[in-house]
Amino acid sequence: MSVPDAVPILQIENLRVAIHAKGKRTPVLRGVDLRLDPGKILGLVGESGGGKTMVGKAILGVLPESARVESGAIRFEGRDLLAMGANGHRALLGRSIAMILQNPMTALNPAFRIEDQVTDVLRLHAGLGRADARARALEMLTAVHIREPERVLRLYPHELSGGMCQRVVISIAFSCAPRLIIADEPTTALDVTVQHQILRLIRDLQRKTGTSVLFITHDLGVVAKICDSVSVIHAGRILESAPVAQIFSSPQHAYTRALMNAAPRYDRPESALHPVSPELRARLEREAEEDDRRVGTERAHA
Amino acid sequence: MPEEVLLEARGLRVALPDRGSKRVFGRPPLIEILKGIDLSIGAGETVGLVGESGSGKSTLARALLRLYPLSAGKIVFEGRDLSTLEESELRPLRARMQIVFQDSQSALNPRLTIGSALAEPFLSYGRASGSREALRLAGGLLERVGLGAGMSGRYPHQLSGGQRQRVGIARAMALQPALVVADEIVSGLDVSVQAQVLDLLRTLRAETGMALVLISHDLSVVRALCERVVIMQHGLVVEAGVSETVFKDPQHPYTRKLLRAIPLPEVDSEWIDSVDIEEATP
Repeated sequence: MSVPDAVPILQIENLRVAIHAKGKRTPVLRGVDLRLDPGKILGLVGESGGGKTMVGKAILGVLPESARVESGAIRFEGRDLLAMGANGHRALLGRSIAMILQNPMTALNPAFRIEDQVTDVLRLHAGLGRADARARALEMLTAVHIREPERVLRLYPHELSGGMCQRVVISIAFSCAPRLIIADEPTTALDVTVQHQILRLIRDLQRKTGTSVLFITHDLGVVAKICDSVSVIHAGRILESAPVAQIFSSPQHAYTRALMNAAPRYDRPESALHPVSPELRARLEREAEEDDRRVGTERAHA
Repeated sequence: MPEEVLLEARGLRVALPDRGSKRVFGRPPLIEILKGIDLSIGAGETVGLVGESGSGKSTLARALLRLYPLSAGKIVFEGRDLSTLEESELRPLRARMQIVFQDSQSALNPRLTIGSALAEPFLSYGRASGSREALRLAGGLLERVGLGAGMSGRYPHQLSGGQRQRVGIARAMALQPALVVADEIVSGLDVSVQAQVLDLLRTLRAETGMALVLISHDLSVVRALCERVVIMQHGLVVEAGVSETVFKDPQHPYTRKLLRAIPLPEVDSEWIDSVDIEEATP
């Protein structure tokens, strides 16, 4: 359990984001609260369109142009990222906050050799010279268990398998010993045996460096295996937050239970497949709309 | 296993042009994807084909329907040897064996309405007297897959992934096939939508008595739907048997590794360390 008075690495308070397009305002994050303590892995789980990727983008400051942050705070080690301005925010990226994305093939630039991409970060953020950066890059590739790292440095992304690319991306993410890593579905595109290894790799490096990880995923199985705590998101609202042991032993929210019942399990073939019920969907939609109305009234009075 | 054999493949070998080839001139060299597969599917049976990327499961699915040329082996479907038939002789049989593809977006013509796409098989196989009747039949198909005839006038991009996959299933069902091959049709869908699509497949199979070959990388999906399972690795079958037996008591080390790698939604602190990180060689 977390020490209550320790400063969290990441604390999001009442974050509201809406997309403005064609004169219409569509809320995507409706007062999100999240807390990630130092050295921990927090899972953010939900279905597509629920806003989990939007949370990651807000932290990284890469929300789409049509998105507006309407209220709230994203505190990184106590400092509000939203209040510090683009330059201050950018200065943290890569060095203090890094990311691992779903598709490793697109996360890497296809036109540059692996060497350029791994050493770029080190030269820019750690201020290393060419030779030192190269030496450190070799160390990092070895740390993610890549054989023949010298040879890999000379290759282009398309010459590597998906799992291998993801190892390179992970080595880049961890290379400057960041305080926080945003991992958005980092194993979704991988084969299940490769996923197993990549999860172990992330967990091992995370333990070794003491980095905190916000692990965004749709897969409750992955959450159970790698996260310390979890927040369930739907329609931009956090419906439930709890330590993993608790969420799997006694899920409180009906939506959390529904997600658990929807996924087939090879060890329980007799249990039927239950989609999230239309009644529950309607209820959640109603609650989101009520929230929008309440906020709308508050805005009108402000 | 059912008495009646619907499809029987023996010693199936398929070689395809190597897409990784760096040769600039001439044809790329062939690379053997399927290295001698034996597989038999009973009438009305559900068989799961499982494997990771590169295992050859999708190639096998297409080869079974003779969408790829065989370099060796034979396939007997409803008593006829597919491997020796000309394309024109295959055509009437094509109605009896259908496939649903993973990418529902590219499987549908973006310029055809859903209704027209579904009317197509009735027209091209002469099962409808004219386009009016074909559209009416298409409407009936939409109802059967739970979409409602109102979808008829929509275009593929106006549908969600789950809805498009239902259209793919509807089109495969149009000519009352004896065999439907479903290639990773629920990967990429949210679990709740996945549950709906799997449930639909289960219902349709029960209603029609068709045989179903479900290709998936997800063993839990296969376990939910299939009576028999075939595990593939590197173009070979490493284990095959009744699902219940294989899942309870897997014999091949690769099957055991696959099963262990699945993260079940329950806390288990030992799971993550139960794998060694293999050195990755470029």
